Amino acid sequence: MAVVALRREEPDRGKSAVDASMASRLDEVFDNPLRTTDVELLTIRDLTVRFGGLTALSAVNIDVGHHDLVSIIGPNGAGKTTTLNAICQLIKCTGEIHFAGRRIDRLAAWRIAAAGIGRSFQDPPLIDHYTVLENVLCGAHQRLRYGMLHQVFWPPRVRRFEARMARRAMTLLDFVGLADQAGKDAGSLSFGARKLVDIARAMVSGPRLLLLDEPSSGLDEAERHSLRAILLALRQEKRVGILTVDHHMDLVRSTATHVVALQAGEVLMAGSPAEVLDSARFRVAIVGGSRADEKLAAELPNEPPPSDNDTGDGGREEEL
Amino acid sequence: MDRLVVSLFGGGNLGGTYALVALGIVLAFRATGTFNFAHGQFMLLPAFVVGAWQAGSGGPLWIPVVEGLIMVSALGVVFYLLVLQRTVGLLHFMGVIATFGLAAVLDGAFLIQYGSPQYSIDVPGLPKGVVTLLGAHLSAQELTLTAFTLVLAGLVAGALRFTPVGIKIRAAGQDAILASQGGINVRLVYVGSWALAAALAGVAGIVYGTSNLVNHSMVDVALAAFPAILIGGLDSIEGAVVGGLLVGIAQGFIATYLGPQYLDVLTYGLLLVVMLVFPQGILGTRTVTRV
Repeated sequence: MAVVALRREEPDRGKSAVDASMASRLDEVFDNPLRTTDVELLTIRDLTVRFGGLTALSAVNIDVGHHDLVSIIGPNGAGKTTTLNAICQLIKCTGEIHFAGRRIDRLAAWRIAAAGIGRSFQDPPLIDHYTVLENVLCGAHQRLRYGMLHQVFWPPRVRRFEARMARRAMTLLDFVGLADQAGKDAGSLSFGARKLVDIARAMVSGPRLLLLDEPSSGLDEAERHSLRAILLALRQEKRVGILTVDHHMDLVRSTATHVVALQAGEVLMAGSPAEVLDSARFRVAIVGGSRADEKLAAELPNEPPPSDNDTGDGGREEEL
Repeated sequence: MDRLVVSLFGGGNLGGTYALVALGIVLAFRATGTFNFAHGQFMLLPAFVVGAWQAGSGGPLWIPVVEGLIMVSALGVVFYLLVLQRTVGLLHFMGVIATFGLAAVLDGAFLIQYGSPQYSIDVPGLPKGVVTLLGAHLSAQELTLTAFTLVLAGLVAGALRFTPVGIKIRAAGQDAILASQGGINVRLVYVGSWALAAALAGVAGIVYGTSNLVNHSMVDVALAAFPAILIGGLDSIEGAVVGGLLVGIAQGFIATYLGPQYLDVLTYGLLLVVMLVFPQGILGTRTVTRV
């Protein structure tokens, strides 16, 4: 019988993707690490979303470790973006969502963002008549540490704080390769650049978990290459846990530590990128595999996909 | 020269009132995307409270002013929470219809509570008498109130531009989802926006009532501010102040040089001309379509 090893792929422990100077600057951005890593960063159990009579998600379980990059893949309508929207509480859902040990599925959207979850969107919601820098700073409201009274009675504090936030934003623009565009209006950017600005905006508050909704959609090959480098650098630097939704299998294969395949609102299977993307079940269900795949898939027993809390650091071998 | 000065300062007086009214309407619009057609009634409520107080028992003016502003702010908040929040996701005109409904309800309530009064508001301590400026005789009280409304409108616009609270209000009005992802409590901001919008209308109503009769026709002042909003830019807070001032001064000149019968036609004519050159208003956001 085939043995499927459910292991997370470990990050490349070779040369760091960023130089020491950028690493130090990123320290200033991700300046609020969690005190403990004893619990998973994100735990989703029995997540269900219904829109009237339509069940968009059904009993979905997903785990994201503190420095994991988990990719949710699946065809259109599988419930990928719905999963992210449910985590952010932009839509109603049932089930339990725990972030760093704290239950968040009953919190308002702004509280979830304030708790340390940054989100980018499939269609970047940039403000076209603001500059790139100003758009990135739109993500920093929760880090505002001055009020009206400071502005009246203590302007130097306000200026220091504003300068610090501008430095954070510039660090992130430098990180995503857009530092030279900081003063340009966001409306003049290409779609790929807008995506990167949106990702920088999601990071400016120094989140502990990044939710990236189809970060590679609409990007050309060069832009996808840049995005790949950014994701790998974040993974290598262990700054933040990342949960992405993506359609580009090459990008998923080369960046993810763990993949969850959704189909029709349910988890089809989960595991390492190779385990999921190379499996016959996945190919038949998602992309329509070859006749050999269909034959192999037909021979596989019909059992539920493994749950994600089985994929610990040591991995677990499951016999089929 | 004296006609010029009278037009300028008389128009400035009206412009200050329009600026406050327009600011309130733009604030509410940015919060919920709804033109508040009950804004005139929001002006009228505190003016009635103050007018009735002074006509009745009398006493310190601050009591009915505070009471009136609290009442109208609470009304704005309750209307947002109970009605407008539920129109989110529905067709835009549903919210507009709701404000028409509120206006009708308030008109009826005012009739029941106050009848058809003709109050006037007297603010003690305001300078009386006449000021002569470049040959023109101007009311000292009106000059003071003009300065007050313009300074207040400027302070509110400045606060919305530069303070953290104002930035959050503008952010939530720009893009609610983006604002929530930035950690802004959007619901609280919208509640605050409606409270502030109603309070600004109330202040405008009280100030207007010091130089004009407080009666049911005051609601027409809010309707007259709509050209100011469109000229300034529907989504622009600074535009509301600029548009209000512009329309007020324009009306001052029209009334002085041409006569009051030309007010409406030339005001809306001005609106059409501005729309031809600046379809989004002088300070409104230009819509860019990416192709």
